[in-house]
Amino acid sequence: MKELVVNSLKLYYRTRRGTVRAVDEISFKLGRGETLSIVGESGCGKSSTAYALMRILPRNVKELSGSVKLDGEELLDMDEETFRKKIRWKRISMVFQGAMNALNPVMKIGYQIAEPLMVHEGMDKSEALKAAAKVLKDVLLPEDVMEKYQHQLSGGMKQRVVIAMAIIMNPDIVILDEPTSALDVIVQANLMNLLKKLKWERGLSYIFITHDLSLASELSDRLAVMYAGKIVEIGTAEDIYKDPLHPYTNLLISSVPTLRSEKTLKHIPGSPPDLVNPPQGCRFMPRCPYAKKVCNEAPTMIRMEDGRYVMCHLYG
Amino acid sequence: MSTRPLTPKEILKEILRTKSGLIGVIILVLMVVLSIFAVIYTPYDIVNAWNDPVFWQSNPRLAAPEWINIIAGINLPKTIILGHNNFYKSEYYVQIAGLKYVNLRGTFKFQYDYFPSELSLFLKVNYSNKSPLVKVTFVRPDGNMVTLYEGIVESHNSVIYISTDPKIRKRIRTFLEKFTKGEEAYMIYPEIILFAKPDRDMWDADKARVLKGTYELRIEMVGYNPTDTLEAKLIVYGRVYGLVGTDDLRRDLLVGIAWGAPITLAFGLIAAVLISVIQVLLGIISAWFGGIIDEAIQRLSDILLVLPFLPIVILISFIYGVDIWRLLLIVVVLSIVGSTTKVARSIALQVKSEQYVEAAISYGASGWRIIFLYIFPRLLPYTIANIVMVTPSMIFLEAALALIGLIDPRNPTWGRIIADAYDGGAAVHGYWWWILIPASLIILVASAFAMIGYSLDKIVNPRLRER
Amino acid sequence: MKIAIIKRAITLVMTLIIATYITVVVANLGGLIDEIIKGQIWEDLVTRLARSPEFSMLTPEEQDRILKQRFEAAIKARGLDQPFIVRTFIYLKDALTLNLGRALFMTSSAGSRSVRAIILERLPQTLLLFTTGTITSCFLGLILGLWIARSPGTLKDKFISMFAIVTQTLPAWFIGIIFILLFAYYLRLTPFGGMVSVPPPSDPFNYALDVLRHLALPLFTWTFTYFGYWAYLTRNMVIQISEEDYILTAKAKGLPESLIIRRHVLRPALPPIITQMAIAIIFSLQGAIITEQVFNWPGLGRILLTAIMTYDAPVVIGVVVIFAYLLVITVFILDILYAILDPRIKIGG
Repeated sequence: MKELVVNSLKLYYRTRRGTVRAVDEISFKLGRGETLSIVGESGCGKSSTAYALMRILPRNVKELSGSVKLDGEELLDMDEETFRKKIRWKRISMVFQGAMNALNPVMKIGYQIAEPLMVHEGMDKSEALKAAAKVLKDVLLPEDVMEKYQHQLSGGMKQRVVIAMAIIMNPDIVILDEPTSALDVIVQANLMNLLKKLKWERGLSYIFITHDLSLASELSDRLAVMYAGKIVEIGTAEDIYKDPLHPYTNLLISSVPTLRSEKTLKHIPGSPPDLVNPPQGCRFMPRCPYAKKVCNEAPTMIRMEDGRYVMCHLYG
Repeated sequence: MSTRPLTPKEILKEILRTKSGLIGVIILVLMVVLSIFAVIYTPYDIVNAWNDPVFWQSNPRLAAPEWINIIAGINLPKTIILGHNNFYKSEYYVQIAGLKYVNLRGTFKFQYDYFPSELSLFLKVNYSNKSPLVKVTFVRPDGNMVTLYEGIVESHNSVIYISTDPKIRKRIRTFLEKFTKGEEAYMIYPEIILFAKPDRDMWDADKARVLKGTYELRIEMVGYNPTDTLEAKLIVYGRVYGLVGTDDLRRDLLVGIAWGAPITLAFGLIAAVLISVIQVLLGIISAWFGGIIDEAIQRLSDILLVLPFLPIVILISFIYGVDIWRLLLIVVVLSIVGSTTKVARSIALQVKSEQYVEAAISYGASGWRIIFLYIFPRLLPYTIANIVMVTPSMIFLEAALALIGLIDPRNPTWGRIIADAYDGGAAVHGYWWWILIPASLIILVASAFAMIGYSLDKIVNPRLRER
Repeated sequence: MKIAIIKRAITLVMTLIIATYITVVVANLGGLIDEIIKGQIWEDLVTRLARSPEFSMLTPEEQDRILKQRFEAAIKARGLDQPFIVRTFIYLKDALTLNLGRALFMTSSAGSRSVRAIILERLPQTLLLFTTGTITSCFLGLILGLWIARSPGTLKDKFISMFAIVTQTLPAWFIGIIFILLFAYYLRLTPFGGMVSVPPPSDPFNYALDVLRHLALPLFTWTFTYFGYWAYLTRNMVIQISEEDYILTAKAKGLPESLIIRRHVLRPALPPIITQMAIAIIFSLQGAIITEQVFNWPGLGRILLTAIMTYDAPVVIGVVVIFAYLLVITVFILDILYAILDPRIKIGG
């Protein structure tokens, strides 16, 4: 692939309380071999973005609009069948949040990994299983895992299985939704290393969704900070980490404890806005230490000289 | 995942929040109101009145509800009662002959399109030593007269069953022959012939047509004492009665249903509550104390599971002859453990391992205190859901046993009414009101419980909640 | 795993033994039946001897003596001289080995007193109606449940769910009475009851047709009453499983919908459904008791009822023991099956 271009992506849900504007016009680009992290608090719309890209939508979806172009081809316009056969898992795959339940409890691991090959490529079972065994090696798991069931594996092992399953068809993009959130730090570190290795070996592009800023900065080339359904800042990881522009990004970074240096931890007061009735102006205003009168108007995405984008009145 | 246990009030609120729960509760409240109404407004001994034939004497047998006339656009007769106020009485004593003459004349209009179902004449005769002579004449609008009865009165209170008395039928056959001119008539139904247009078909239940008009009953008594006198009551039994009709023992089914409501509901609820609470408690005890007690309770529930419930209940009911409250006892005893116990046990095990319970143990709370204050409240929604689901099956259990004839038939429960209906051939003879109306009520109540159970299901099983 | 199987088997066998023993004691009314039988034997004896002319010629003392002698002999012949408690164990052993003995009062239509013959004669009729009915309602319900599970919350889902919930509380015999009024009396579509017309057709083809005509209403009633339960059960299972994360994964993997339902949803859903179906078939024998009464269907339920009302203990024990055996065997097989199908389950849980 050459690039993925997302423009003004919208995903609204219908709920009893009203329309939840989970993803409210976000835009970003992803190039070949790149890792883009989407960072934000829970409920800011990051997972919904992933679902929107994979087009796995629950029943109460109200609107999915905007543009998602993969190498120039518009994905949102495709009919379901075509998308399923050509794109899903073949070109974009996903590693889900909470691998605890992502695997079918009554099917063997090997079969589940091999399944996409059998269905999409029409491979016969023995060939597909051989391919599955090979990819298990790539994620550094022993071959006997093929015959096991998911309840017999540890959390870290399950996560590797899910990653193996996601890469078996050699997709262009792998979306990882909080792949390490339920794991302890050491397993987490191992997994991050594995992800880096796979990216190098196979030329994958990652969309890495997390609330953990430090983790994101470790793996990513670029970072997109999401807040209340909107992307408020997007730029290279280095730039953002060294010099955060948006007040929210700033507060996020200051709230991350570091092991060695002295740092007074700041915490962000208040809570994210209700996505059913988001405020008219800047959505971060109620919690922003720099809030001004002009923030009652909705800010637009401003391009800075170093190529970053910020959505904040402070900069324009 | 620990959630604060719901109080009963909260559970009720949750139930009322769903549409199905709301409808269910409304229906039940209506039934309770009906029950209270029935109990308050009928102060006499319900069970005895229900089983006393005399109480229902002036009702027709197997009568449909009156509103069928409106719906089907037909004109079925209502019961006409000529009480002693409706008779014009003239009496005089002839001293010389030593005879007392009493004449009663009563008239009524009959404008219906269908024949009466039965005719009965009740006589109250006052006499000393010698019984008087009584003659009863039936006068039709077309002027034809039939002498129904002519003879001595046997007792002070006598009933002349005009429809079935063989002597009367003979007289009516004679009357009939004037019009059929010797053709064979198969069945003599006095209530038809007396009211039929005078033609060859007047005996045929299908072909005869009603002679509408004013009918008269003349009763002449000749007695021997000046004080001898006579009162009469003529009942021309109709084919419709009341709101719900009558059964084969002339009982007003509305009354039966109204009286049956509290009994049926009480039986179902009490049995269900006892069984559910006991089973849940045993499940909790099983989980809490573990060890031998747990094993024992588990084995016991296995045994009871294998024993077929219904045949054993039938067996015991048959041997000991049960009434509804003894049945309650038997059912509860046979159901002290069941599948509910197992489910309650596994939930209780979960709760037991939760942190606030562990905390309570560590500060020395006694087992029973923990069970009642901490564990049981968590199982309250499940217990209530269980009660709600078990109540209808208890109601039907009683009905089933009534159907086989094992329950003391004196208590008018809804199940008993339906059992009587089936035994009385309502299904094969088309006495639809006897079956359909009580059945609809049972279905309504069962649905109410089912709907409440459904809304409770969403509370107990949060996965089924719609987002 | 083998040890677990053996342990489970032992538990089930013990349960069976105890349950059978309880039935034996209850069916014999704790010894009351003995008194009844003894009373009958005495009556028979007295009546018989009273008719014999030689007997009436004897002195009262001699008559007494002979009566007592014959009485003791008769009782011994019937085995009633042993105390009741001892005999319960003999009955228990007999019942467990399915040596069901002879009925006290009833006979099969062929005239045999053997309990086994009586039961076997009527069992097929009950199976014909109720097992067929249960399986039919299960399959119908399953298909319907799958259909409405695809679109939860829609009108057809709500309607069928409500129907299922209401019919879950209503027994088949109750619906049966209503249906007899509706279909047999008003619509005249079916006969009022029974299994065959009187007199039954002589040639097998018309006989079979006649049976089918009589089978129609009870079968329809049974299916109508219970298919809602299966539909609702299936619906709930499918919806519950569909919301699991691994189904989301399956969807993300780009698998087609029909494959997801077949392989990922139904496979975990089937074991509980099959278990329920097996148990339902066994318990349908219980529900048959009243339903057979309402439809006048000549099956095992009617026999049980008659046996109970005539105090015919061996028949009652026989039927109950067969029921218990079927249940225990089914539970045992299901446990094993479950463990095989679902790798998460360990036996005994």
